Amino acid sequence: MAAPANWRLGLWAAILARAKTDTGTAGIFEASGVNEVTGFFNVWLTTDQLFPAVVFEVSLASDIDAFTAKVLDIEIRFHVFTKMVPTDGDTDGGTLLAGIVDRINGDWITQATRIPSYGFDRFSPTIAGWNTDLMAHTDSIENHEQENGILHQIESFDMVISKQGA
Amino acid sequence: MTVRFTWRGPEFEQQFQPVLNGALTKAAAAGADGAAREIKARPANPGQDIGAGQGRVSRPGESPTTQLGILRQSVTSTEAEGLRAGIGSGLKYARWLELGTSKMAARPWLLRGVMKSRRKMGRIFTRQAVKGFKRINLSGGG
Repeated sequence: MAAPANWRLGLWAAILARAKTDTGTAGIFEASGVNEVTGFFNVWLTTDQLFPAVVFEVSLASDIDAFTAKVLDIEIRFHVFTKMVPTDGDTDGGTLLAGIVDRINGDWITQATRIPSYGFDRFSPTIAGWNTDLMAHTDSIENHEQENGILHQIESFDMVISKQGA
Repeated sequence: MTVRFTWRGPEFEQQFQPVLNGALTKAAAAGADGAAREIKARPANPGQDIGAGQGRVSRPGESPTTQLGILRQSVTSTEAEGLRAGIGSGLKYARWLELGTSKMAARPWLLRGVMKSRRKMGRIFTRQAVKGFKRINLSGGG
């Protein structure tokens, strides 16, 4: 079967699958864990979504084609949302936000192999039909929403992919 | 034969800094133009006239479409100072569109528009910098 040309679907699936493996202590999918999220979405939150929640999106994909190969420079952003003042007895919003952001970024720096056991910095997603680079963290933006009582932090990653056999 | 070199680094820097700032200002203006162009006019809905508040709105993740054109008109760049120039908008919702909120998906326009213009910006910067470089005249030089 020919490899699908649509890298976006493959990337979305790889990111979602990676996030769902974070079930260890303090993981974002650890059942009843300190950093457990109520939702992990692609592009936008559902209406009346409970927090904490994470949204990821491909915010930019620039063509940087080589002479004979299709190459893309992709920016992926993770939006982490927590309530400023939790009403359900959870950890305070700022601590929770920092905890989830840490899980998103991952632990590559503490690994002798520099391969993260969780998180996305230095993680290499598998996308059928495409060669993939490591996702590299580029910046953090605080985008808090005072009027909604929501803490909102954005973690950006950069990655280069190229089409196999092109 | 003796060759004598005189180092006029500070003098060169003093003359070249405004050249680079001028080049950067022009490049930033081109970037702002690209960012403004990323905010597209709304395509008409079938069977409907296009006008203020009408037409198809942008979908999550797409670049935003205009309603009254206020955002597009607000995109501007700053004059470069200390080799830094800014591109952006002073409107609050410009940031909401670029980054998204808990209630609305992002519709990035700034980074996309600037990235699409980066080659043009590079060309403008280089052309202006080279032109200015040629005009540098160091005292006692020849």
